[in-house]
Amino acid sequence: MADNEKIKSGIVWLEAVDNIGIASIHNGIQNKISQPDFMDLEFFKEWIYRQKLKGLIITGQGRHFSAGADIDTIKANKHNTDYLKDALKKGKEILSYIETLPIVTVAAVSGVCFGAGLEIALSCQFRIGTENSVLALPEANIGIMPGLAGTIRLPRIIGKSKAIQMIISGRTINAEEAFGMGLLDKVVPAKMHLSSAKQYIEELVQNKSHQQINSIIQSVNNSITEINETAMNTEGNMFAKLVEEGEI
Amino acid sequence: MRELTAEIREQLKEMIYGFFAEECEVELSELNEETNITDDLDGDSLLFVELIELTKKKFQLDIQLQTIGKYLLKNPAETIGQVIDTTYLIYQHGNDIVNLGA
Repeated sequence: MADNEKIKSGIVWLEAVDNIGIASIHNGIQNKISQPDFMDLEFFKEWIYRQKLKGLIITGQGRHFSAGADIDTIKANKHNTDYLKDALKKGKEILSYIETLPIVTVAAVSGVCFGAGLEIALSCQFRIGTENSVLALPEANIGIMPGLAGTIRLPRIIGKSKAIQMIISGRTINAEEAFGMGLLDKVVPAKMHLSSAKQYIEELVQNKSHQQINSIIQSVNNSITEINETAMNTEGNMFAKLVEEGEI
Repeated sequence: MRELTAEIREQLKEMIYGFFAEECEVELSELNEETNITDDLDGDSLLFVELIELTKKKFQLDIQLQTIGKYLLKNPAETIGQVIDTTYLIYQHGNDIVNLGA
């Protein structure tokens, strides 16, 4: 597939420019996440595999990152919770895949980033937001709770007590506060989120080989997902391979 | 109830016009109190969310979006003039705006 070619999966448009993938949520002005499994995971995996990316940016087309889930879809399935559980499981599989990608991942946030939209952003390693960004997990205000692992990933990023406060209150957080609590890694002027995310990745990966990037991120991921002994052994193997095959 | 001085009214008005001009990429001269946010500016209700956050930050207001949302359900703000009037009420009443009559 040629560089720059845009393809669509679910509500997400995918394109690759200079070894950086861009996944844009594209669903009306508010970029609502119409269903938890918002794109085809197998299709996405295959696209990622083909592109040989050093980084991936997830963003929202237009003014906002995403206003979150479509409440009407949730209400329509009030008595069909098996469907909801299955769809949430598939959605979580997409986000877990993004979370464990061995490349640099950045959510480029502008405007509103609520609910399922924020849960998608939380699956990235970094979040860059514009000065006008507003973030929230507002599900508790309508009698439910986050369902795409927001209660699991948020405390890992901002700490348990702040996460519980933010989720139970459902309150909105502006960019300045989000940066202060570690929810955003960088705040940039309006409309600069995408170019800043690209620059952030380019600066981080410059003069590093694909193998170095993949090994470093995979090893850090292993520290969370694998038992200590396995993570330690894998790191040793990766180190040896880089020495053997690298330019040292 | 917080006092809404002429100076504060002017600051709020200026902030609101500036916000819509920047967000909707239009000249300030193209905006007036009759400008409809959806029809004329291709805007949406989420713009109000951003505006509330901006107001909270700029004027150190302790207000919850949820309460403002309840008020707006009964009293929609569709034009810039209506947004300005609502923002005046938010400044004056804070979260108590929800107790004001429709």
